[in-house]
Amino acid sequence: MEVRNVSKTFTGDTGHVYALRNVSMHFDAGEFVAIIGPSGCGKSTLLRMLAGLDQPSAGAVLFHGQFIPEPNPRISMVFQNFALLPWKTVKENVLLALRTQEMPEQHKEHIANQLLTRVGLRNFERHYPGELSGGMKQRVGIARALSVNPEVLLLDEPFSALDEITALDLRRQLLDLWQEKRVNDTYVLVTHLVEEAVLLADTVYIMSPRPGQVIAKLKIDLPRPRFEHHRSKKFFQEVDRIQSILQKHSNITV
Amino acid sequence: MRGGKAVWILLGLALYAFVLFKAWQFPQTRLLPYYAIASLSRLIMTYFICLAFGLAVGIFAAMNQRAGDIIIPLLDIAQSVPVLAVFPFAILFIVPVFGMTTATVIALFMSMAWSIVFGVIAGVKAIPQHMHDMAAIFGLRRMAYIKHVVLPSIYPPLIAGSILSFGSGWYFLIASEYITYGTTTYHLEGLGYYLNLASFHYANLWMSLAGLMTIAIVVLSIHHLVWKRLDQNSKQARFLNLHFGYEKGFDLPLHHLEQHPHHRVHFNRRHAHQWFFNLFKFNPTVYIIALAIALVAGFIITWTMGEGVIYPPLEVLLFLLLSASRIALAYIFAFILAVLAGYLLIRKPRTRRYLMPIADVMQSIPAIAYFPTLFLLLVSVVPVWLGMPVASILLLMTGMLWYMLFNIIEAVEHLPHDINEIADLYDIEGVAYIKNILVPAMFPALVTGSILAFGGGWNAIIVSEYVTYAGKVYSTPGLGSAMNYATINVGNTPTLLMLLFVMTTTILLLNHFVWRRLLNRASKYVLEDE
Repeated sequence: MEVRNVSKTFTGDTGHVYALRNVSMHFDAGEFVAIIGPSGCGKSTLLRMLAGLDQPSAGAVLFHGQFIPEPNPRISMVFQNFALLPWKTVKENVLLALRTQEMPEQHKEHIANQLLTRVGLRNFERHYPGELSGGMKQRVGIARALSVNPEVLLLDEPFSALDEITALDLRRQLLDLWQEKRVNDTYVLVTHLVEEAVLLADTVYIMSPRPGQVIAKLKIDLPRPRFEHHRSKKFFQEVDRIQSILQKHSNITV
Repeated sequence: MRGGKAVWILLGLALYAFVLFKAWQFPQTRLLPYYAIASLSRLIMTYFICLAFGLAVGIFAAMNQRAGDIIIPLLDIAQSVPVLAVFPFAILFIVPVFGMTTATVIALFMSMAWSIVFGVIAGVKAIPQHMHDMAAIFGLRRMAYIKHVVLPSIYPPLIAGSILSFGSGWYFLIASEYITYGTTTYHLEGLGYYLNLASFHYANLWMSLAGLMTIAIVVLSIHHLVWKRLDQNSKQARFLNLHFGYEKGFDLPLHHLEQHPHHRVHFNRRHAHQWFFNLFKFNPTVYIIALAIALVAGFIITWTMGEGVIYPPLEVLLFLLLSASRIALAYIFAFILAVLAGYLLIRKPRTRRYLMPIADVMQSIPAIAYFPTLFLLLVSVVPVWLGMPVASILLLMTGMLWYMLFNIIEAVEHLPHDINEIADLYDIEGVAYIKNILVPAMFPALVTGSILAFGGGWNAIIVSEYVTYAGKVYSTPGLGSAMNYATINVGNTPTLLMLLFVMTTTILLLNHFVWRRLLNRASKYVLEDE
């Protein structure tokens, strides 16, 4: 997947406003990428373009060398607010994502059951989202996103609506899922939490606030699994490195 | 509490039996069940037409930006036309070709369709962005999107809109079953016909009461057996519960306060009022074009019909001012009463036990139905010259009161707890509470309630200024009585058209210059969620 010189402008009261300016990124197959930046840096807009939900004003977003004029079945997404339909049960929510897939119904059932078991919600498949905790809802969101067997999984601040204890638990589960799946599955995470980025990602793109630009691209070389080391000195050196870059650029907004 | 309820119901039924006994001498009284079924079936038929219309047009207008830019202002104009004034035209142009039933259904449609279609539009527009995105990502398009996302999303506003629609349906059904144009009276057998017969033909209080109580019983039964259940069903956490100004008013049950004491999961509620405001923020071009067309058409019709308008412009202006000040006066009374009732309901919960059942029964009877009875009672106490204006304002006020009250109650229900805790903590009571907490917190609800109240007021003015009782006409000068005079006494279509045009234009201008501005201001007062 590739983002090539992408700019995005919005027409506001005072004329054109740049949300993103000349952003370029490259994601390798199988990579876990984090895009980090303060609010208003256009990172969510960028993710929407990767999903085919929005189009760049200039430049191109490419998937296997092709434009993404509309959402692609090979690209799936986990939402910040879960985006579960409250009138459908847990299982129906997952099955709805499989609706357009061409396979026998039993096969869809099987996939849904398997993923719900994997995220520990098999016993809750008949519950409505309103009866679940935030963490459980997001696990449904993750199961649903993975059910279509995507090559690219986009994660839009997936844990920011959860408390830190639950979020930590879900990060661990997400990493497990990423590692046990095929090697060339790409995960793209948008976040404003530095430690989350360092814990999860191979590559971190750091973005500046308005207009959103890439100010740094870092490789995180910490050994995996990182959960055992995430209080280590090396871990915090990486965190500090990103923190200082972000701080250097934050005075632009003031 | 349960036992108390049963006692009340039994008492009511005993009273009903007594009234029926008194009115039994009139042969029509024996036909009351038939009349009830006839009226109800007309209402249900129209309701399903409105439902189909509301879903099709509402979903289309809300999902297609360009279509919406044209359709929504047109709907807004259409709903601003006072329905009662349209009835004579229905008689004139539809009855000769399609018959009375079709005319009634069309007239009823004109009163019932709007709250449903606006409920649908507000519901569709309130679907959060991430739901759109989710649907797009997982390939839910067109019909699949409508089926899995749109229809369940709009279920709560659709039910609330339907309740409102049914309420105004009853109101206009009473009027539509008995219409006088010129020297001819058109009627359809039903409860409205029975009521009109009671006051205009027999001038019998017992018969009027029998009709009123029958209506109250039918309305309350339907409400409690059908709407209340659907309404509660739609309030489950399984649905997106949004709060729109539009859904509230005429017929919304008061029981919410009792049954939903706890904070529900109100999805995205903060933005709900915003959607109501957005509905009103369209490009004025469509309005200007529509007004211009109406103006030209009005002149053409007036000229070609040749009969000439019977009132000079200055007199019309005077009528307009008289009617407007009557509505304004009634509004002030309704406002004060509603705020006081709101205060009692929140701060003195004990009063709920008495206020709620009374309000529940009272609001179930369309004001238009008890007006002749109210008038008869009034003139038996005070002289006619005083009785008529008082009755007129009373009728207007009772119509307006419910819109205000139910909007306030809904808003009160969703008042964040901490606000009342602050009031308790700093001992803010009585007038201070009303001034510093109730009114500002209610401001958006008050504005939406006021818009609905004024809309209802313009309609009620048509019946409130002119009464025929026992063959005698009582009237007080204003737009409404002028309309009635033009219709009933002389059958003068150009005059009627002109008056209708003046009234609709006034309503649209008021909406644009007064209410829309207040709504914009109210949007700043919307309370943030926890």
